[in-house]
Amino acid sequence: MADLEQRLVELGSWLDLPPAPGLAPRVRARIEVGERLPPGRRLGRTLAIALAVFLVAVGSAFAVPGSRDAILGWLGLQGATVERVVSLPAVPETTDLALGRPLSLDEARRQVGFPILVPEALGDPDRVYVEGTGRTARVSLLYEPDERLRETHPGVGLLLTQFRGDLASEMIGKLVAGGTDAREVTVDGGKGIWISGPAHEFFYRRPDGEIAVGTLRLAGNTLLWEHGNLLLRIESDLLLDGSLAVARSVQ
Amino acid sequence: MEGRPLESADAAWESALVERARRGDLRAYEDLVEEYQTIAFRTAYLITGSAADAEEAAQDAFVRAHAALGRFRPGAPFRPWLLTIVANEARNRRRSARRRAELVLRAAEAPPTGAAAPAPEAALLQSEERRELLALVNGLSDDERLVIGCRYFLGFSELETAAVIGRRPGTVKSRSARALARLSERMGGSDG
Repeated sequence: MADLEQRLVELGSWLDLPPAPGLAPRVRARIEVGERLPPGRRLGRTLAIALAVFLVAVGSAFAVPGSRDAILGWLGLQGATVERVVSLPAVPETTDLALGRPLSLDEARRQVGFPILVPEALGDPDRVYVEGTGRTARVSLLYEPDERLRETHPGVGLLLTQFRGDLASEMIGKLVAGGTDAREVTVDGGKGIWISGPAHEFFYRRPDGEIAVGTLRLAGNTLLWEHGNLLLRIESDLLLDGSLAVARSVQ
Repeated sequence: MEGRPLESADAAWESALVERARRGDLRAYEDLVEEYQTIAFRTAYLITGSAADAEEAAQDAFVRAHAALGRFRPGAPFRPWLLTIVANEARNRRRSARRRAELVLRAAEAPPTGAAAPAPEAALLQSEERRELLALVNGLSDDERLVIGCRYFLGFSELETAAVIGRRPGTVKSRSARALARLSERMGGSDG
């Protein structure tokens, strides 16, 4: 094998690699004019901005309309139609997270119509699940509990969910029970929301306008943020700093 | 030279440049670009198989890395961090082009820099061997080929290769071993 390795090194010296261009002047010029590439620009030049709508309920009534309006305004959603709820839907007790079909990461990449991002801070996930296919697929990367990730659900330390969020086709809502802290954060220039506190439930607005109640995932803290034309969500027991560190390391 | 461990003086030099760049010294950042543009471009080329895409990916990666300097951990090695960004840019381009990169063997009459010109008979054999080996490398899966390319063609460390493929260093080790075993097997054991 050592011989093979040596031959590969030698082969490398014979490869016809094109000469590297001088990049410094162009890079400098682009920086000087203040160019900022949006995260994941290459996922599609025409960025569809993912939107998040949060309905925040405390107890059985809305107690923080100001916060909600501020969040909507900050997300550029002023004027969006938002359904108010009087009380949270019953949250089913379940041990099945219904994350979709288990696949290898490579297989998931082949089946999903967008690049799957993996947080460098955590490395490869222990398990990968995909629900749906192509561009509308939802991918869940599951990390088992370890010394860094406390168990929030049997066998689950952290769940990173990602899917295409599209201004025209999808909105996402989140119901939050009492005692919840929701705040605005920024992840790599992308807008995000941090929610910590008791259990919550997601629902989605589908392209036809119908609201579908999503499956309960975990009852931990949630960081949801835009990354290019994707919407990502981390659910774990990590606090804000830890969640942000994971979020900022996605590649 | 790419791939060698940074000598402490180089590491200190790099650290100082990064620190100056973080504080807004554009000239320092330009020096970093000049230092790493070759490995950035070659990494992107390994992934995209297109010089034009590789150049664009490398250039975008440097612009993106500059904007992200505030998040760079002082004292950490700059190369793996940069390579992560470069590889990401390159992968996104390859995905949109739906193209598989093919490596091209340099003309046999142009020996590697510094190598002695082989005897004509030997050169022919070596040339054929090289072509065969390269064909086998090109026959690997994208992931395995990238690991082989990073480790042996570009001389990257495991850490740097891990940054390029976006996996843990342990994955580099296992994937590299798997690729070598596959190459060896496809060579029919003639490699010895």
